[in-house]
Amino acid sequence: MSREEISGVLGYRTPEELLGPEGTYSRGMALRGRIERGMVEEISRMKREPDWMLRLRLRALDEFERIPYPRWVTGVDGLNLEEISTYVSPDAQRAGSWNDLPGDIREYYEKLGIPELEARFLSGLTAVFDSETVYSRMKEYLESLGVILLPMEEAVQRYPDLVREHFSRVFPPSDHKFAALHTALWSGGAFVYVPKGVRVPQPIEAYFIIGGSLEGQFEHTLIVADEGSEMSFIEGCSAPMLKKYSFHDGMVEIHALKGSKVKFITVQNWSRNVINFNNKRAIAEEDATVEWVEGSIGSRITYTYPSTILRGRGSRTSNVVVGVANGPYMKDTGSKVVHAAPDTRSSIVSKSISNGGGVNVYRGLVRILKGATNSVSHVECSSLIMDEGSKAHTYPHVQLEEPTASASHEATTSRLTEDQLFYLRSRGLKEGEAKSLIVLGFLQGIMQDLPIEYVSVLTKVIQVEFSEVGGLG
Amino acid sequence: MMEVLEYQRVSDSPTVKHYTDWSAYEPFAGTLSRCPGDGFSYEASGDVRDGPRSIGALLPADESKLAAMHYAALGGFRSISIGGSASLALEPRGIECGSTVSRHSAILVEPGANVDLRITLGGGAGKLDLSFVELVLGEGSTANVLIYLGSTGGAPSAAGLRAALGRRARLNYVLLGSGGPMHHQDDRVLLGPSSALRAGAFLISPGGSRVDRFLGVDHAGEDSSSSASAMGIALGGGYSVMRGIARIEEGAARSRTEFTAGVALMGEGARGYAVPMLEVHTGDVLEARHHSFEAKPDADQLFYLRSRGLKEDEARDLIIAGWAEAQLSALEGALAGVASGLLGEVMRAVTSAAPTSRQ
Repeated sequence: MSREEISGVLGYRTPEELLGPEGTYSRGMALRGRIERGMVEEISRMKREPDWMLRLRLRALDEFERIPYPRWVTGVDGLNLEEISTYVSPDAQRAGSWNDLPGDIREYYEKLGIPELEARFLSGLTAVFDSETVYSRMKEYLESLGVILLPMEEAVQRYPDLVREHFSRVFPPSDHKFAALHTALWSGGAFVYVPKGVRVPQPIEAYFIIGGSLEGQFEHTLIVADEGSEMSFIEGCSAPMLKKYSFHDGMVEIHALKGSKVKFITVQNWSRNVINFNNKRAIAEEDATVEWVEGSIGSRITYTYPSTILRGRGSRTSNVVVGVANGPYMKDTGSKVVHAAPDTRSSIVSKSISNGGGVNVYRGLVRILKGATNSVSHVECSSLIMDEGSKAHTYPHVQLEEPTASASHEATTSRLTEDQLFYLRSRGLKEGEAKSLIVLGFLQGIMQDLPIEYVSVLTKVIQVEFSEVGGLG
Repeated sequence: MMEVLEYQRVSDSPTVKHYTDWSAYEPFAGTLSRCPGDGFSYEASGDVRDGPRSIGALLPADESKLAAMHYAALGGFRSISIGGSASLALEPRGIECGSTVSRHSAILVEPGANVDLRITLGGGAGKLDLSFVELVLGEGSTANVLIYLGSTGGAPSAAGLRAALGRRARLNYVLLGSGGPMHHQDDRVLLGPSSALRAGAFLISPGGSRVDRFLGVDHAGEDSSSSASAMGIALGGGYSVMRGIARIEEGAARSRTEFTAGVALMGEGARGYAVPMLEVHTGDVLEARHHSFEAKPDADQLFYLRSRGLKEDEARDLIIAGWAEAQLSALEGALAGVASGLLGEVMRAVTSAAPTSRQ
């Protein structure tokens, strides 16, 4: 699919507008009410899980009950975990062909152009609707190379030893309350294993849709890149216009083994009524590289901090974070890196745009442990405030325990000036066009980290966000 | 009040729960007693008078458990007004009773006045040392403030400058010294319209010591500006935290702020933490930037100095002294010279911790 064709899929509408108002579709069962042992056991029973997974869920539930709400989390006062459905199954069998999906569910993905994207651009695709994976397919030649792409539940059944070795080992439920909640209730998601020395040429994608209000989505993505392998993974998410809020609490775990390279790209475009918590962490072993590209555009409020633990000598990570808070919405994003081995390298670049009363928060942590000799870290944060009512905050932590290491952080907050707008408007651009041009110029440096197709999509989304007729903010 | 208050209301970071080891203060909380006196002796020249008899506006007792402990142990305070041009030195005065020394001074600089204010802290002789100074700068006034942290006699300590700047007031502030087993420094500056802050800090954490320095800069008035930097040196086994927040409030249109925090680790077991935070609550901001870094003696500088005959330790000390001088440059006038003189005292902690090549 050419850039023009993909742009044409979106036209001048946001994904939320493309999907339209939330509709009725056939649902199977839903679980709602107090989050307690019975609910967790019921999810595990439905998935016919082995005992070890049920025990893990119940341990996570204990942690959820034990850990208090984080005090720095603001803006989620309306979140009532007892009124949302923590598990919702669409009335659809998992399909290996789009034609086998019920029309009302297939339509969501078709409106977003996902089947075309898969055919032209992807090595494999997993589509999650509400709490279940409804579609999963991988190009056949990758199967012959030993690559595994499966819905997470199926991987638990078919590769229990491999999954058990890594599941919840990168991001333990004890880390914080929402990680514990996720592990207790997880459903849906993808498992990817790339064998030693295998290079997956095109990205694998997971696309998540929440179909209705007052739903919780807790999908789990686990990627294991074996020694010397290489792969990239794209995560996309959308929801229709919801009448009430819904809640997303997903998790991504990546284990990059010796000499492997993993690139993980997120294009988050939830609709304006989604409260979005994301738990993303990678462990990089010797000489492994992990790259995160996090684009947060939609949602009412987003909390996401892709993290990497550089555990092996010579491992590297780069994290690119883009947050667009357009309208009275909030993006609380950032990145964390722990240097736990010698000769490790990290780079974090964060760009945020606040417009129309939007609030962007960057929270970052770089920790260089004693013994991580000659490690180097650099962090750059830039915030652009488009109007008087918008805000940008930066909370970086640099923690050094190794004298031979070096770390630096730079942050700048600037505003859109009348001069910039006047210059562009005097050349015939409308205010929205001028604003989107300024924003795209601000983001130019990091666009190169995105696949060309997604640059086109992101460009279109930003044009819509700042146009006078588009954007829902 | 002490029983219900926390030392700190929000934990600092996901990996370091608190940069200050609050447990160091806890043994003293149950043994506080009020001893007479405000804990300072005063040496003044110029137009210095007694000021209004009230304190606490810039350090409320319910701000934290440490603030409550400070007032619970405070036996008296002195309030001073400064008009015209004046210089004032506050030296710690020994207090005989109790296990805690609590010191408090409130200083009002009247509109248009200028003051050089030198405050020496420490000398607690093994007692918990809690010292706070409230400083109000009237319209168009200027204050040069130097706070020197001396020896605490092996006991934990906490101190803070609380300053409020009126319209067009200017505060130049330098914090200089070295910490004891646990020193918590909590400075806050409130900026009114068109006021300006220049601040620098140079703090040494010798082996076994821990210094947590926090500077809060709150831009409340339009056209205000601040430029603050802090440099912490953690020697072998020392623990240095340089952190702070610059906040530009909604009404502080056309303000600018720059905040830099640096740490240098000199020896095994040294730890350094830099946390310069920024909150911008208005889009009408001229500029807001912050920067944190880890400092090391530059290899080229070392080579240059060694090629001129200096030993490696001497060259290193010279470079560190250069970092310190950069922090002291926030001060103007006579106090800048005083600060340079005190720097020798501070650098002794560095040179005494140096390896053997000096012998």
